[in-house]
Amino acid sequence: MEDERKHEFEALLQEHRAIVFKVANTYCWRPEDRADLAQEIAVQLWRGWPRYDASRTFTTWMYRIALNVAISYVRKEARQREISVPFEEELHDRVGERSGDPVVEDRLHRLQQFMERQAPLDRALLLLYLEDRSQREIGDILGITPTNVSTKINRLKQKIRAEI
Amino acid sequence: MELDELKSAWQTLDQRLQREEAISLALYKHQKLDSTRSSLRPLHFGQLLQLFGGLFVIFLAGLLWSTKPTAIPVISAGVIVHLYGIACVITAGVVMGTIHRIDYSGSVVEIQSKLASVRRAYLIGAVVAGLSWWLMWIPFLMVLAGLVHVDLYSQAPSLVWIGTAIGIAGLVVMLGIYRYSQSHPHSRMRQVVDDAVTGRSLQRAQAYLDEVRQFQSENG
Repeated sequence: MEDERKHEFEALLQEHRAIVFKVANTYCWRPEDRADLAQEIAVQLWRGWPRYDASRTFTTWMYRIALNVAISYVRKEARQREISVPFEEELHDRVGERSGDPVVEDRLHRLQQFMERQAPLDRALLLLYLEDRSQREIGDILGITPTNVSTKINRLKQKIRAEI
Repeated sequence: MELDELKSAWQTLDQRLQREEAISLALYKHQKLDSTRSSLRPLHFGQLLQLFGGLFVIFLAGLLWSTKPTAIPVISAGVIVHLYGIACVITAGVVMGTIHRIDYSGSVVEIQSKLASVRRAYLIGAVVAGLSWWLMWIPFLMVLAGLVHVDLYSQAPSLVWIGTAIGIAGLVVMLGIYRYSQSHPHSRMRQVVDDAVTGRSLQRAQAYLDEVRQFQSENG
């Protein structure tokens, strides 16, 4: 029975693993930090798995844990370093190889810089917005009303237009 | 940049991520799921320190009781120290238990708010526990003397009274400095006191709690 649950968990984690890596990538710049955070999220998902209510959406449950873990992780990192780390190009080892297309690279660069300037909670909102999650689901994950989500997304859009 | 371009950039990032996943997932498979290397224990070291400190104080009180003291001042000091130790253990245990029981599948605002509240409560407790040492050293010293069958109060009452007076004066001065600094928000004194008395950690915990609450309530 336990093996069955474990296999079920591993299958679901495998199917939705992109969520783990997207969240890790949104909150961590260095590859070793990303790997640490992804690992931490996986551990907490596994710990929370016995309490998972199958009547609820798996991805919503997964996003909640992943974001909570990621935000706690960056909070702790910030406390340990005493100061929040400003954006420094050489410190931020980003995902994957460069495409060679300067337009694409420029967009990516500006997106990453913008994300890094956001507070952890706003970054969670931005991630969910970019992932095309519905306002209802975003509200459910973050714990705010759909109206609040809508207001925040409108502000976010204005900010994106102004800053990027 | 327009929003659709932003989303397109996000998709590009996503595709790159897919390629990196293989490496990260391999890492995940090679490590145990029940890893204890958790960063979700923001107060871990402080709590453990408080827990063991409390146990040590209880142990000292226990040693004192084993000597069967008869002098009322020694017994009183033993009771105070014993209660202090129990309070340290209980508060550390409550905080550790609360953090351990937090279900991370709750909504982000709920969990982050809970974590920040626990952290703030813990830090306030730590400040109170620290300040209490202006006076706590006296019964502590009396217990240590009691362990070697010396009633410090009857041997050197002036030490106890002078110590108590100094302790109270110290606390009053601390309170005065704190009040003065709070009434001068832009002074250097305010910054020094906030850093030293309440600690940066507490300020950060409060600021973060405010941030979470603002995020939750902000509407329109």
